[in-house]
Amino acid sequence: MSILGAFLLLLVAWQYRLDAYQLVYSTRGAATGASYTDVHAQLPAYNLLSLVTAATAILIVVTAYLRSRLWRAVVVLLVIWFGISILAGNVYPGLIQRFQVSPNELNLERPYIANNIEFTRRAFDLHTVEPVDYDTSRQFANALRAEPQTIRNIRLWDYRPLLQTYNQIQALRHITPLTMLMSTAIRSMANYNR
Amino acid sequence: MLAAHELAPDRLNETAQTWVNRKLVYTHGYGVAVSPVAQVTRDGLPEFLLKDLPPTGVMTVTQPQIYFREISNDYVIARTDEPEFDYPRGEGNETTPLCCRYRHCDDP
Repeated sequence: MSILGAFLLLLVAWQYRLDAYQLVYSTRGAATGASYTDVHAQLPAYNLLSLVTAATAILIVVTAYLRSRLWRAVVVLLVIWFGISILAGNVYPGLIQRFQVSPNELNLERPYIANNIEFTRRAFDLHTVEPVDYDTSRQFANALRAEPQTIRNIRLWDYRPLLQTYNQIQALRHITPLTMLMSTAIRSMANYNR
Repeated sequence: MLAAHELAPDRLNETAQTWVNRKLVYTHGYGVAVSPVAQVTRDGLPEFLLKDLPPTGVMTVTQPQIYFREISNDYVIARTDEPEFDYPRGEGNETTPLCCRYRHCDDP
């Protein structure tokens, strides 16, 4: 019976290992992903808890084979384990987050936000994009003047009030609501030249 | 700017919410409203290149029916013997239009 409990605790220890990997999805902190508290408090807590849980499991098995007053020893071990798990897993990272990170958030979180940005760029394949300065010299202004269609087609309407207006004056008794499909210029309208 | 009319059958009257109505009759939205991106009227309203049902304006729309919508992703059954609702024409009261223009959906 205590073998079962010990086995269960070993699974919990393994769960703590996996939780450590889950930290890269953490929503704590300024950006999604492992932030300062996750790396400096939660991760060590998970590692520690993993070891402690495994140790508790082993101790339970040892106790089952050595001592006669089995239940009391097991309960004591479990209570100690539970206490450590709460303290290390929840209380300690909470304290770190509240008293160390929050007063100094920008400085401490900066490398983790930078990680977030960099890997988001990589995810969208943007790290291969090379920024180039755009020519705003006179030649550009002349070229623009030679294409009045482009200027005349620069969108001024915000689609949100426009959609509200459409629904008020065009929708049929609210049965036919409108949804915005396209809010860019229709360049192929050569006839339209007001 | 281009906005399509959808059809929201759940906004119909309670008595009109039958299975036949929802799946066979009110199957598609009809028509679009189009206005230029940089024009306003004197009242601040948008100019229209295409408006009203049926869509009238500077262009012709040969197939104004729109079957795929944003409001819901429920299924409908098209091209049945039941005429599919396009838009009401004529006088009508709130619940049922007295004179509707029903059409079969022609295929392309």
